[in-house]
This record gives sequence, C-alpha cells and structure tokens, in this order.
Amino acid sequence: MEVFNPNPVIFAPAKATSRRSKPRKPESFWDDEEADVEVDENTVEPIDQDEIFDLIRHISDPEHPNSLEELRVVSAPQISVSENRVIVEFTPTVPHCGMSTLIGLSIRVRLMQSLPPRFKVDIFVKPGSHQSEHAVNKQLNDKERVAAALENPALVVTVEKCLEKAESWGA
Amino acid sequence: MDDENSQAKSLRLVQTWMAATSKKDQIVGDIVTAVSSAQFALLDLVKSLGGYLTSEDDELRTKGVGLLSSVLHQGNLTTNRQTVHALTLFYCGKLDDTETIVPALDGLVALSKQPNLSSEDAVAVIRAIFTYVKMKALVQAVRYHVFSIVDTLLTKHRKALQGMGTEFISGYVSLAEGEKDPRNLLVAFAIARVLLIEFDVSHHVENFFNITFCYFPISFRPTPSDPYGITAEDLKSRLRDCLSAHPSFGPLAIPLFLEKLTAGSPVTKRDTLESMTVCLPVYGAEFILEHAKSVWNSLKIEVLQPTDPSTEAIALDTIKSFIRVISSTDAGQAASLRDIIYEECVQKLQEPEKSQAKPSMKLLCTMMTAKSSSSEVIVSKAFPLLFKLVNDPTETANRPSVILLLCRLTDACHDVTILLPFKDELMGVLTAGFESSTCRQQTLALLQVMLAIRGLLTTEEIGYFIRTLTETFLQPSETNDEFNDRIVTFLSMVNETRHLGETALPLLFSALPDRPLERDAAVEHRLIKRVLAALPTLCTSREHFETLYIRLTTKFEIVSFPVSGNDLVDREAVSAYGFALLKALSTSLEAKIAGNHVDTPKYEELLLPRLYNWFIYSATSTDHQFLAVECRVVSLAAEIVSMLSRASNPQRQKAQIDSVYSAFFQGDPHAIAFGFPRIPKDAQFAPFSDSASDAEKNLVPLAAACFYPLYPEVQLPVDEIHPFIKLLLNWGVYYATNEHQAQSAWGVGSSILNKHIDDSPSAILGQLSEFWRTNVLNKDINYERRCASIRAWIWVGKALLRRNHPQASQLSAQLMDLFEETPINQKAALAIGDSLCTDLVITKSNHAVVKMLHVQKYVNTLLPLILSNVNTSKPAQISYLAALSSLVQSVPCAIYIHRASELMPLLICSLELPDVDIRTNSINILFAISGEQAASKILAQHASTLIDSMLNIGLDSLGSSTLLRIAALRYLGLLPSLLSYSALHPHKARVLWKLAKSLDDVKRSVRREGVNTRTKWARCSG
Repeated sequence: MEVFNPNPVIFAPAKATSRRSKPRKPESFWDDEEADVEVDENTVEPIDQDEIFDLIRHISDPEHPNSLEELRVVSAPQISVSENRVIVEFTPTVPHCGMSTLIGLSIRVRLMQSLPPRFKVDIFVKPGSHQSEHAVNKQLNDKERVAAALENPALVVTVEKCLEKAESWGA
Repeated sequence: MDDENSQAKSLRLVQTWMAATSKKDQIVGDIVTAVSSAQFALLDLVKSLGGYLTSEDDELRTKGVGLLSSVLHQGNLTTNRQTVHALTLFYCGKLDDTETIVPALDGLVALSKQPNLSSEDAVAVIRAIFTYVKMKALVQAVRYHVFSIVDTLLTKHRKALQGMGTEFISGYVSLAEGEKDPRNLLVAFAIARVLLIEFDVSHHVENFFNITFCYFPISFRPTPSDPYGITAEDLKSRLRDCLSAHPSFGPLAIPLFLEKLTAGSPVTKRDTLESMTVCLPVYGAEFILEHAKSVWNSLKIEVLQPTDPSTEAIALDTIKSFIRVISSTDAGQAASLRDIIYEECVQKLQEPEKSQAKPSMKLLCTMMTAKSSSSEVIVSKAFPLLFKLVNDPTETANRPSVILLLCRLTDACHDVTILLPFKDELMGVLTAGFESSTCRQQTLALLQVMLAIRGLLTTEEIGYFIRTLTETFLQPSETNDEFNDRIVTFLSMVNETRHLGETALPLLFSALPDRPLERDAAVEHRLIKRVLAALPTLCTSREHFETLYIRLTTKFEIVSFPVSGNDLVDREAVSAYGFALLKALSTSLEAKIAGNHVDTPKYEELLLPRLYNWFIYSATSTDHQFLAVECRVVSLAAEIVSMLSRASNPQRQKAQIDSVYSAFFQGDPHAIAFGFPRIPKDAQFAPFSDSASDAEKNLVPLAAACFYPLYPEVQLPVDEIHPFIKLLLNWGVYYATNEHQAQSAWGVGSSILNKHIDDSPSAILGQLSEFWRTNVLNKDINYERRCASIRAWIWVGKALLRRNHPQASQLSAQLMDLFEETPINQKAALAIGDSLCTDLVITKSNHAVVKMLHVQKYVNTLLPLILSNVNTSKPAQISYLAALSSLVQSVPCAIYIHRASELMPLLICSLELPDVDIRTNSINILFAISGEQAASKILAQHASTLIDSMLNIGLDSLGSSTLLRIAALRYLGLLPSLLSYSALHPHKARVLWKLAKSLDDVKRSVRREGVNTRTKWARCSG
C-alpha cells in the first residue's frame, strides 16, 4: 500500500481537557477532593467544544499508529458548537493525503453514534490544506454519499478499526 | 536344556502367536522372557519362524517378520555380533519386499540401537534403505522409522557414514525431499543440521537449501487437540538451527529473507528477523558486506515505520547482529559502510519533530550497544548535531524533543569516558533547559540519566542542580503538576547525599508562612499545598523526620495561637492551614509506622501530650476556640492519636488510657495535656457533663481515638462495663450536638462491647435490651432521637457480629419489628445492611475480635428471614426490599449467589421503587452477580425486563440521580457481553433508538456513559 506521508510530525497530546466553564471556588487548605465528587444535580452541562473534541481526539490515523490529536489533524479550536449545529474542521498532514476522506468519514461515524440526533454535523477540510478540498468536503457532507460509503463492508471494517481507540477513550 | 527342547519350545510359542487373535503382546513377552533367560537363542526363534519368513503367502510373511521385529523391540536384547550381522542382512533383504518392508524397518529401528552393530552393517543398512525405500509410498509412521534409523546410525557410526561421501549425502537428500509431517520434520531438521556441520556438503549446498529453506517460514498451526504437542515454535527453532548451519547458504538465503520481510505478515516478519539474527554471523562478514545495502534498507524500515512494538524490538536485535557482523572485519568497505549507516541515522535527527527522529535514535543506541568502538563514532557525530539544534534560536519549538533525544543518547553511553568531552555542553543544556518552562521535564530526565552514570557529575554540581530544582519547585507560578511531582521524586532519589538536608529542606520549610493566606491567593495556595505534599515524601529518614516534626509542630503553634492580632485573622483559614500542617505530619507518621521505623515510639511520647494540650487549651479558652470547634481538624488529630496508639504496646496503652479517662471523665485535663500554650490550673474541662460546651463535646473524638486501638487485655479505667456502655450510647443520642461526636461515643461503646462482652455478658445484654426498649421502640420520644438510636444500634450490631456472637443476628433482626411503622421503617431497613459496612473502628489493626466467616453467618441468618417475609403488605414489603438490597450489596456475591433465582425477581421489583438509594443498591448487586456463571441463565430469563428497567432509569433525568443514571446505562452496556446475541437481537433497534436520548442528558458524565453503552449495543451482532 502506498504511504502518503511516511514521516509526519508528531505532537504531544494535551492532558485531559480543563474546562473553562468550571466555576471557581475560594481557596482553602481543606482536603477538597471529596467535595469534587459530589455532583450538583441541578446545574445543566451543555455539550461544548471540549466534549466533542474528547469524542474524536483518540480516533486512530489510518496510516500511522498515532491518534488524530497527536498528528494535529483535529484540535479543540477547530470545532464549533451552536444550538443545534456542530462544525468540525480537520487538517490533513499533507495536501495530497488520500486518506482524508476516510478520516472525515471516521469522524462523521463517531459523531453520528455519539451526538444527539438534533445536531446537524458539518465536517470540512481546513481551507487550503488539501488539493482536492472541494471534492472531499462534498463527499463528507452529502447524506447519500455517506450512506453509500457505509454500505461497503470493507470500508466499514476500516472505519471501525480507526474508531477502536476512540471508543475506549484512548485507553 | 538341550537343543531339541529349546527348538520345540520356540516353535510352540511361534505357532501360538501365529494362531492367536488376542493377547499377542503377552506371547511376545513370553518369547522375550525365554530368550533373555537363555531358554532358547534368538537364532532358534529365526529357525522356528523359518517357514513363515520365506512363505509364499504374503500375509504369513508379513506376520513372520513382524513377530521377529516385535521381539527385538520389546526385548531390548543384547545379542552378539554374529546374530546382529545375520539379522541385519536378513532385514536388509526384506526391504525389497513390499509386504515385509514395514515390519523390517521396524526391526531395523531396534537393531540400529544395538551396540554390537558393526560399522559395515550400518553402511549396509543405509545402502539398503537408499536402494529400496521409496518414501512417497510409505505412511508417516513408517517414514518416521526411516528417519529414526538414519538419526541413530548418524549418532553411532558417524565416521563410517562420512566415509560413504557423496553417496550418503545425495541418498539422504532424496530420502528427505518432500517430507511434510511435522513429527518427521523435527527429526529431519536435526539430521540436516548434523550433516551440514559434520559432513562435507560443499557440492550439495543447493540440495540442502532445497530441503530446508522450502519450509521457511513455518506456517504450521497445531490443531487444538494435537496429541503430539509439537508447536510451531519447536519447528521454527529446529529449522533455524539448519538455516544457520552452513555459511554457504548466504547467497541463496539472503534474497529469500529479504523477500519474506517485505511481503510477509507480522508473524512471518518476526520469524524472518529472528532467523536473520542467528544466520548473519554464520554467513560471515565478507558475504554480508556484498548485500549490506539491501539488508540494511530492509531492516531499518522495520524500525523507522514499525509494524508493532514486538516486531520493532526483534528488528533492533537483528540490527545489532548485523552491525556486529560488519564490524567483525577490518575491510575498508565495512568501515565506509558503517559510516554511511551512522550518517544516515544521524541525519534523521536533523528534524527532531518528525516521526522518524525517535526511531533513528533507537537505531543509533542499538548500534552503540552492538559494538563499543561504534559508540565513539556515533557520539562524535550525534552530539555536536544535537547541541547545534538545542542552541539554534529558530528551533526553539523543537527543543523539548531534542533534549529527549540527547537524553536517550546519553543513556546509551555506559562509559563515562566517552561522555566526558561533551560534559560541558551537556551542563549548558541542563542550565538552559531548567530556565525554559517548555523543556523542564525533558531536562530533568536528562539530569536523571546523567546522575545515573557514575563519575559524570561532581557532588558540587549535583548540589547546584538540587538548589535550582528546589527553587523552580518553589516558583509560585509553576503550575506543571507533573513536573513538580518529578522534582519531588528526583529529590527523594538523591536522598543519600547531604544536599537534601542542607539545601532543599531549609528552602522548602522557609516557604511556609506564619499566617494563613488570603482566600483569593490561588497561586500561593497551590504552592503551599505542593510543599506540604512533598515534605512527607522527602522526610522519611530519622534525621529529616525530626526536622519535619519540629518545624511543623512549631509552625502549627505559631499559626493557631498567634500572640497578637488574633481578632483580625480569618478564623476558618487558620483552622484550614493548621489542618494542612497536621496532615503533612500525619502522612509522614503513617509512612514511618508502616515502615516500622525504630524512632516512632519516641513521637508517641513527644507528640500526644502536645496534641491534647492544643485542643483542650482551645476548648477551655475563650479566644482560641476555633480550633476545637472545627470538626475536620479534630478528626485529623484523632487519626494521629489512633495511629500512634495502634503502634504502641499494652503497657503504654494502659498509661495513656488512664490519663485520657482522667482528663475527659474526671475533670483533670492536666493528666494528659502538656506544653504550649499553658492550660490554666483551674480550667474546667468536662465534655460528658450536662453543662459541657460545644467545644468541649467536640473533643470526644480525641478521647475515642485512644479507646479504639486498645488491646483486649488492657484493663479499662472503669469499674463496671455495662453502665459505661449505657453512658456512651445515651450520650450519643441525647447530648451529642453533631454526628462526629455521636459516632465517636458509639464507636467507643462498640469497641468495648466487641472486646469485653464476655466479662459480664448477662449484665451487658440486659443493658442493650433496655436501650432497645426505651429508645428504639419507644414511640414517645421524638423521631430524630429514635433515628439516632437506630444508628447507635448499628454499632451494637457491628460489635457483636464481627466476633460471631450468637446474639448478633437476632439483635439486628429486631430491626424488622419496625418495618410496619412509617417513616422509621426506612431507617431500620437500611440499618440491616449498614451493620456490615466496613469502618475504621472494629478492625483487626485496632485489635478488635474479628472472626472468620462472620459475614456469611450473618447473611445466612438474615437473608432467609427477609426472603420469607418479603411477600407481605405494602409498607413492610418496601422495607424488606430495601433491607434486602442494603444487605446483599455490602457482601461478596459468593455468599448469596446460590439464591440468585429468588433474588432476581425481587431486585427487579426494587428497580421500580422511587427511592434512589435502593435502586442504586440493586443495580450494584446486578453488577456484582454479572460475572457469575451461576447467574447467567437467570439473567437470560429476565433479559427483556432488565433492558426495559435500565432504559427507564437511565433516560429519566427527573426521578433519578446522576450516579443512578450512570449505573443503569453502564449495566445496560454490560448486557451485550453477558447475553447471547439471540437474546439481544429483538431489543437492539429499540435500545439504540432510545439511547439517543441519553446522548442529550443534562449531565456530561451521563452522556459519556450513553455513548459507551450505545457503541457496545451497536457493535454487537450475531
């Protein structure tokens, strides 16, 4: 099999996302570990950028033993969430990467399975990062084409393999 | 015995055998016995067989030869040279005959082992085999005989066979060609190795290549029920011995290896690499050099773009072998080749951010271990390059990766002399690295590696870095927790040097302020927490712990009892800071006690009087009460008391408990308290009196902590036990103003009950039943008090059931009397299980009486009671269900699994109850039994009900708690692994559709569980 990018740049993955929305408590020296476990039943925690990033960061690259996060194919700032819409942008490691559609498809399948159906999910290649950007975007955001791709058993097996790590949250 | 007689006897036996249809082995045995006891000679047997051996009838001939061979086999007879010779000739003749070849080979197997077989006979046997035996016409077992004969003769008559020269070699090659059975191959490979090494095969290399390399790579997989126990590994290692047996294989083998390496599966790759590791040194430097380029190119790929970690590790071994081979010659070609290889790897380091940089470093390090002389070359190429990169201002982003590469390279240099020329520059990297926040962690790793190389760093240099690191650790802005942890680990590792006590510790202690911090000083708070967490790890030695003890206790006194400006301070902050200081002290003490350090008893004497003094002073004074009223600080102090008392002995415990009793029950605080600040002589301290203040009562846990760990033989300071128990139980119900105080009083009561009930059983049991009547059952006292009495009763139950007391189950079962009465029945029901909950009071380490199997006994009494009563009317039924789930969820499932079929319907019933705790308990029980084989059938019966229940609970965000929803979803996610697909299939679509709702739950943790569960259901298929 042709390898599109034999020597990609590896980035250290960030530690678990620290949520910006977390309320700050006054400082003290008490052992407050236990206090953190208690869940406040009333506060609503909306689905945010970090949560969606957590869903897709551990997806494996089809070509390398690394995660999409380590290759900086996906990152939290490239995700935006509004009322009922999610936009995910991803960056292929090289402009001629033939795996881009597969990566996008993996992201789509993961989000299809993990987000409430009220969301419309759009997945785009980062503008200017791929030579056939338009074609890839079209393939990824066309309902019929995605459905057709998922009819192909060999492709489904490949996608499931990419998702294995993500489904165990990188463990 | 005369000739005629013996002849007759042998003839008789032969005829019996020929005619027999069963027990033939026994007759053979008789013949063997006769021959070995010299009743007749082996040749007599041949004579008797005469007619059969030459019979025209094929069947008779086969039988005749067969009998002779069986006798030879079974007999293990030593026969003389002539007999052996005669038999050999006879058998060789029989090989020509298709009817007798099988038994004849059988006989030859036995004969070949005969010590009297001459070399001429051996050669004759081999010739006969080469001439007559057509391997393809024979079955496996017979072919195995042929290989065995050759193998035996090869061992015993090697010289003679060597003398046969080409005849033997080519004869054997055609014999072995096309063999497929693994059992035969194991022998064939062994023979081939001997031939390759011991015989002159220079003209037959290609032939041998054909009969060995055709099996490479071994793809044999034994059937699951293989009776022969031959593994692929056996075959692989035997074959590998052949492949590496002759240097002339090189030209033929290397192309094959390289081809398998590029095209093979990971298993083939590993086999090929392992074979190459063994073969390369045999094939020799000269030959390898010719192919070195292609070998290197194939091998490096396995490291630069590794298939998997294990293949990568094996490839590194092969490369090591490769480098050793090409370093073993002085040829100029070899030297230039090595240079090219080193250069190639070093060049890859130029781009440290790329994925091939790390593997290239691995390659270099491997090559350094392969050949010591290569270390110098590699180091002289790699270090300057890496130093240049580190210092290049345009490469700052890559600096962490470069330092990591430096770290690996340094680690691979085991010899300090190689490193010394680069030491100055390495020191420069360290100094600069610690200053930059992005590379600190990597720099620390480098320092650790350098420290491990003996003689590289001087003591002064180590001291310098310890100071630098401690200062970095004390930077308030340093927020990288992982790095801080590593600094602490590092400092504790260099413990043996004096720098810790002289440099690091004084800096750390002086960072602790004398007053609590402002509430909004987040950064400083983190710093102090960090320091206090580090100190116990660093101060484990006797000397350092003493420093810690003095510094922390003094600091505690300065903070808690300030001389001036007392009223300006935020009082809760003072308590919290005091708490943190005590916590650090208690953590260190805990480690010392766990490590059985000899200096711990000293601190029992030093610390306990001061500790009691601080709190009693605080409780009796007017302006320092905040210490005593803060339960968290008191609890921590109580833990320290318990910890020290547990490590004490009965004599010291006795003295201690008498003083504590005088102080807490007889109004003499000076009996136990001593130190700063001085408690006034006339101070009133009587926590158990009617007029006691809240602050005084709050110190009851400190007294309790001293009671808990008492050895049973320590005499209590009271005359009679039962009035004391009454006092404690009632005090907890009527006088205690918070749960800490009450639990402490009941805990003491429980501990005494557990250890001393046999001192006066009837009086004590009478006291208990009076408590039950006047407090628990008494409807005239208020509801809160009755609930408190039930909590006290849990402690009574615990004390007795841990020691397997006969009354234990009955006293707990009394709680069922309350099941009809709402709302107290809820508390009573949960109390049945709570008696089993673990606690820190009635434990072995506190010298309590804890018997084996007490849990089983308790459950075996109460569970049938509950099960037989559960089908009653409404309020009681709910209580029974609640009692059931609280009881069962607190014990291991082995105890109740045999009643799973009765439990399951009840658990499903309790899933419908509104109470969140009962439902959570029930799901926990379902989790506990999920792994049990015994429960799987029952589970399958209730599958659809369980799925519905879990969906209902998991998706209902109004009537449940977050934890309950998570538990329900998680259990639902477990079901696909517990049930067969046929049980899941009818529900799959519905579950997936419904679970979409859980992805929109208000809580993030529930959504996450929803995602997991949904994935598991989506993945399950038939």
